[in-house]
Amino acid sequence: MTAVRAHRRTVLRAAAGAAATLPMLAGCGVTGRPVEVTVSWSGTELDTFRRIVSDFQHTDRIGVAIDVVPGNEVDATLTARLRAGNPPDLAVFTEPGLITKYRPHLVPLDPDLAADVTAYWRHLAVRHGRLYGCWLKAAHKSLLWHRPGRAPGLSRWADLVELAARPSGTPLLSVGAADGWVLTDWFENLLAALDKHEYERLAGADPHWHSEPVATALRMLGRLWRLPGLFPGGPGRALLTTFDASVVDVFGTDRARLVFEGDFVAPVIASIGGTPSRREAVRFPSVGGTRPLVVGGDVIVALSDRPDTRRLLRHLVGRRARLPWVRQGFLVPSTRIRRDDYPTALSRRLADELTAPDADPRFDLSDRLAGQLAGDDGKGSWLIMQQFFRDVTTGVPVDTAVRRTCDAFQTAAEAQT
Amino acid sequence: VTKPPEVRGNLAWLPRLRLADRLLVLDDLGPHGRDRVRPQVWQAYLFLVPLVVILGLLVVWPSLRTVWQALTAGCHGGVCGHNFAAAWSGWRVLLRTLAWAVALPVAMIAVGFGLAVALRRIRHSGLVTALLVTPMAVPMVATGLAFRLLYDPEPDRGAATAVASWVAGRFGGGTPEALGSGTITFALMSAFCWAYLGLSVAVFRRVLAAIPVEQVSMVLAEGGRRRDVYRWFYWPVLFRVAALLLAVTGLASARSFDLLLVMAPGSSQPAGEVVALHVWRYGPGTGAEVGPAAALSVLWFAILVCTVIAPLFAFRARWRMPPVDEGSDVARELLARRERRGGTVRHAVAWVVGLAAAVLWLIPALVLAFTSLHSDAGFAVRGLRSPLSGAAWAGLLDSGYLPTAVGTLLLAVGVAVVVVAFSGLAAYALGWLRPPGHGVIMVVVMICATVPVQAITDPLVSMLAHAGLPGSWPALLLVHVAFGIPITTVLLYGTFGTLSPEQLRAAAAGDPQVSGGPVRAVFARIWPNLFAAGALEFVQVWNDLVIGLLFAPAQLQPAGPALLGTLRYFTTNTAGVSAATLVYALVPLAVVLLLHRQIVRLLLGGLTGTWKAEET
Repeated sequence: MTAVRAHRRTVLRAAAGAAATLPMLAGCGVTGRPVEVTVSWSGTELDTFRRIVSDFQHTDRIGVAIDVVPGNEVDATLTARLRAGNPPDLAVFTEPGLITKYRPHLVPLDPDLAADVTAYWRHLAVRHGRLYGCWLKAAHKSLLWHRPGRAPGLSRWADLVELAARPSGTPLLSVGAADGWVLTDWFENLLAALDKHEYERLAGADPHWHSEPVATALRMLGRLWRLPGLFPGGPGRALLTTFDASVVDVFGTDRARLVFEGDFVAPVIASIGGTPSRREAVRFPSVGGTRPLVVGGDVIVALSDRPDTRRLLRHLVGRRARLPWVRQGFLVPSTRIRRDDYPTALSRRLADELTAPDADPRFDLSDRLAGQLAGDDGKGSWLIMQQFFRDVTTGVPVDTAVRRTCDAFQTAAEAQT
Repeated sequence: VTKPPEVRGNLAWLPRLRLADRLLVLDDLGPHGRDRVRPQVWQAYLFLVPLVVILGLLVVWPSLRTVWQALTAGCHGGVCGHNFAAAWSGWRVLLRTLAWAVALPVAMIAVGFGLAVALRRIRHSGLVTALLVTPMAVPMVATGLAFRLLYDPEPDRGAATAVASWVAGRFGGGTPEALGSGTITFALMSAFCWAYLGLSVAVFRRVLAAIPVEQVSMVLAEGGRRRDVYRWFYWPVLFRVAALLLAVTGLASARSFDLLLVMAPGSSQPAGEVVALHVWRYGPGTGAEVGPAAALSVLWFAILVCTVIAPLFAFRARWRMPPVDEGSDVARELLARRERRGGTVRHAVAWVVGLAAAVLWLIPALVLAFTSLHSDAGFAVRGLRSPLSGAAWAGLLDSGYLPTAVGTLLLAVGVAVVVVAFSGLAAYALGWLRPPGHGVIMVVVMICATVPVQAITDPLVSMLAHAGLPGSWPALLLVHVAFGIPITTVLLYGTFGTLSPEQLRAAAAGDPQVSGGPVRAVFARIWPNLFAAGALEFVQVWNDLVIGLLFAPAQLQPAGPALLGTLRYFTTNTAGVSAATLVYALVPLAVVLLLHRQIVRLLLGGLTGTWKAEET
């Protein structure tokens, strides 16, 4: 039997298409074509998902084909495949905004598939009162990372600005501004702290980008980013610095003292040889007494109603399939995961923050924006925030830059309807 | 009875086709008669069926549909121009596209000519030329990766940045962060030049070698001035070659899309955006409005057609590449003395230019190779100064990259075989049998060769859906075939055009029973060309990025898109990506180097043979 299984795996991995695998699968007791899942993961995420799926194939005798699309092209790929009349059975979105866009093509799910997540998470995958997605993993996006002792006492936003303004040998911040999502994450943290209702409204049907909290958040950002000597190599280099390069700036080459981003900074630090003892993560500073908690996550949606699809989905939300994520250091917003399932003190702490009863997370706004505001390289909210960054760091008065940015957001938001 | 020409290789395995025997009947009427009396017209049309069906369904119809959408979508039942007005808002993008498609090729042709002239003065210049031409075979994704590495803003990692900051440190001034939004277009163009400058150098060198030495020396001996020589002998030839190069380079400039996706950081992409990328981001199938998106595609297509077809038509004189002219010793000596008259200074300049070009052209490859000999973590932190390590190559073996490469290999071989079979049949019909309307069909085929796949994605996908082939590997194969057939047909058309009726007649007259008749004679002549065309198509598919991105199904991620996917964590994954890129680039390089003689012959035939038939 082992030989047969190995053969099937080989076929699944190497075969050119679903049609070609059909006879082999039928031969070993598996009926129908494999369940096809479209994901945009790479690296550890993809490896982990492959392991989970392979476990499912062994136990449930259902073939699964993982369709990996590069980078941020899930949206474009899915559009093309829907037009071609050949959608995958399941797709993993990093942007729940896509649920809105593809809702007519999605299959409503059994509500108890979301029984193990808190109301906030469930609500994010509900449209018109029906559940359309299950959360596989989550990200904590309100963290500042530094080497021990390099950036002490950052509890309020004013502390961060003061630290940035104080002259020092090493520049304070490395910002991966080449990746637009890093900049939108900055903005979202400030806005989430300033006014959570306005934040949620921007993700809704009637966004108002000229509101005061939006302008305030942008103004605060502009006043920080424009400080001289803040970035290693200047703001021009920051715009060419990708997210992983910004982590290297702090934990590899020691060219900056502080980098802002989510829990997924930890594996990047590990990949360049950094140990847990040489890194510290603190919460994003509080603004007006409120500490923001911005989260991201990967949600899986169904585009077919086949029994095999439903079985795989049910498997993926079970504890057995959730544990591999946790063991790799990813956060899973599920009550089926216990605190001591997490491998490190840091991940336990972050998981606590995500699932605490009084936690009030805000899901990444740019990932919920659709239409012309949907972010991508050179596009949508990413582009607008990069332009804002460029403006405030090249001498455009902050108020002018803020007005321009609000206009750009509003114009794009209105164009999408 | 003329002696039959030697048949190379053992061709006994060929089936005894009788088709070409009929040619003799046609040929007795001469090439002009061939155009009038066509007993085999139906046969010629039969050979054209695969081409017509595939191009018709997968290129022509989707193109027409896109034009139709651009003209009518949102026009309330009529035809209007408001879609074009909406698309026109991206005028900067259009201007940049024109710079890529016209200004850059013109500049490259001028520089290429200068280099070709300079290289004539130095020894071992053949080696330098070969070095300059080689990058043409390298996938644009690999070229883009090499240059992204070269221009990395961190001096420890980016060799070019290191040099620039050293110079800046010495002489003052800032470091040009080549990938920034102000300079990204130049950075992209430098990579494009690295890939395509060698083409014009090689072609000009070949043309200069064909200038009739005797006649030039006669003119000079009789007191003619250099200016006259240029005007009479060089200019008419160079002008037409330049037009051809303009067409080829203009077509290649559509590849700036690949470079942009790979080389430009997200923040710089808007500043370097060309229509290709604009269509990719906002065009058909991205959820944008159908009309403006289609109009944008049509505008892009119009630019390409103007830059590619216009030069070909404007200069389609009855000229073909003349043979290399050695000339007599006296004439060569005279010319050589003339050339030396400039003195040692010019010679030294030529040497420096040749050497500099050779060194410059080696750098990207060396940087890539050197980078791959580090560990990912080491390179991320200490860059080129980190200790050497084989980790990246060891990691490549179990990274899942090899199955990707094997899959791409199988796909490319499959596409090449199908394309050569279909294009060979079509080219035989168009270039040799020449049924009524072959001229029109050739024009359509040439236009099809310029259609960019991004421009017609939407109708193309719905076409495939109608065929029940959506998102499957046959769909990927079909799209590759549809976009490979036009250019291959054009190349092979030249090949069949250069076949000599006299030689074929001789082959038949020799001993038809033994030699198998003209069929084998034809095959003996064209099989190297068929093989070369197959090799070129293989390279085309292997190097592809955009068709793979659009049409690759689950389980078959071609190597190009797979490499693009690794760029998400480029800084902390550089060594591994470099190793993968080298492997990716070496495959087409090996194919082209192994077959370069056949490929050059095919290209010359393709470029020059088109008008041959009328000369015989």
